[in-house]
Amino acid sequence: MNEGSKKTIKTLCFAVLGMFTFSFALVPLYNVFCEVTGLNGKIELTKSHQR
Amino acid sequence: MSAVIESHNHDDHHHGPAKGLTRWLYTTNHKDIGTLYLWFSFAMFLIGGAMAMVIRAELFQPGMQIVEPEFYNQMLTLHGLIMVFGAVMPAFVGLANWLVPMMVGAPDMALPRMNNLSFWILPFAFFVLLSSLFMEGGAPNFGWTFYAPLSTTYAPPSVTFFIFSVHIMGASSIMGSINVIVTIMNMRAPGMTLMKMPLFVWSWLITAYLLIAVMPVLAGAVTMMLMDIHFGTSFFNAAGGGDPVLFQHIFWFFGHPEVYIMILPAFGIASHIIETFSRKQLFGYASMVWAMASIAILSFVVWAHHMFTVGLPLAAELFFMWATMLIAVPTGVKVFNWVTTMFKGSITYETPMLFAIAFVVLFTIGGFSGLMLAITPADFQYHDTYFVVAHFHYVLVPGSIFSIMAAVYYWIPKWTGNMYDERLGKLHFWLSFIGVNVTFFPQHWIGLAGMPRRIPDYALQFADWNMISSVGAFLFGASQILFLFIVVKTVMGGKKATPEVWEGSRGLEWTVESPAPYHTFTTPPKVN
Repeated sequence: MNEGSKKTIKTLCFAVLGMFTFSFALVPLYNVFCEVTGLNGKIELTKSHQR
Repeated sequence: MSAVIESHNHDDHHHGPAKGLTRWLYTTNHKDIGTLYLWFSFAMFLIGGAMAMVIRAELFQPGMQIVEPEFYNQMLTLHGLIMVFGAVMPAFVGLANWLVPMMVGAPDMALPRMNNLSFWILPFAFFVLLSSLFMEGGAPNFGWTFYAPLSTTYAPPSVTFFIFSVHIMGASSIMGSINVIVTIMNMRAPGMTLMKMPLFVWSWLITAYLLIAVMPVLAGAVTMMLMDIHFGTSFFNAAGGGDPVLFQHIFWFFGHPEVYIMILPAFGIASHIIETFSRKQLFGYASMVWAMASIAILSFVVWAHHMFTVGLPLAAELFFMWATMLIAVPTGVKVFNWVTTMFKGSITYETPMLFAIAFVVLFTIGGFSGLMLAITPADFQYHDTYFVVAHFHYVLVPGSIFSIMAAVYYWIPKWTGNMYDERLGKLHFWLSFIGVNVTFFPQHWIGLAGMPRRIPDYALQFADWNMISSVGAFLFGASQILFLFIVVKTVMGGKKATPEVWEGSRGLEWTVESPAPYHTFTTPPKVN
């Protein structure tokens, strides 16, 4: 196998790991997005007298 | 030096396929593995098809007659999963295995042992999935989209086996696509630049990148489900601070590119077949490549059109509507290119060409109903009705599956060395063509009239069209037995094929003998 193939394989493996990690990163990103935009009816986690 | 070459040739002479079952178990030959993939996918097509027959038999008349509603849901779920992951995707990987190395002038795939592994884990994945039918609580029953919390809190215990099975399928697809990319990027014959590659190779290069990008996301989604079910996390559980709508976002971030994974290779196949039987060079090669690349890129920013009704803000609804409609532009470019290729060509209508033309026409109908669904306010009406079922079956059955059948008829003389029976092939085409339209066209109407999908019973006013749809489905299902017969007959014997097979064929795979020798292009060809 030539050097070019090895490099391609390495890049692709990193891409796979990266996308797997990204799918988990979507969870906090989604929360932040919902908080900033106030969408999706996320409940406010503060007690009522603190408002 | 000459002695070395001679002994090398001598070795080659004896190096055919091994004998017996181990040939298939241990094989690292791209042609053998391609054959395995194609037979596996055909077996899955028949199993998934049998499930579709159960569904259509139940829907033949209103009321519950044949199966329990719980079992109906399991059939519906497994039909979707098996057809997507077991029939269409492995069939395209099988075609890639057979054709990509021959089309780029490479001796084999870049990673032959991994190629063997990526095939042989698939039967296990589907064994695990199908065995869930016999488990307590039954098979997965939440639809192929496995929305949480149906697939987490309210799922049958067999969901864990489903998750394991999806992990294996994902691993197989990822390995397969790494193999395809490395082969295409590094093993092309000298002189074959990227913009000289056959379009099937281009379509698979783009598809493989899509797979690399989204299969890990699917793996992430099922891993989160696994953690919610067994490890007490709350990714999708509102009671623990999670959000079920997040599941839909993650799923469709995978799911929309996935539907293009199932159609891009079909675009490549149709381009080759239409070019050959029109006896003209393909019109607009570069625009075909760019169209496929744009479709692939756009597929990442349209996922929320599957979930317009979850309560998206107006800005998001507008964005996803327009982005979705934008996809019609590159798709239109492709359709017009195919039509222009046929224009004033010396067309003959052999079976592959019939399937390819039907692909263009019927895929376009499926594309247009997709455009209707893209219109957000209209989608509120169409969402989860049989209109959606009609739409995606039009793009998948006479789209992807017709293209696979076209590819089999087109390349089977190269694979087996024998011509298929043209009369039977045409009969198979017409039965399938009539069957598919009788099945799915009426579903547009019952969908617009308001029949919801995924429900085993329906209101009386939908009875007539459902019965017609079921009759069409039985016809389509039965005509696939004829397909099996034609393929077996061609493998057993028939008129010998020439190396070119077709009068107007172009490409490196037609320069080798028919059947293609076990090893091709051990010395790379020169491409001008």
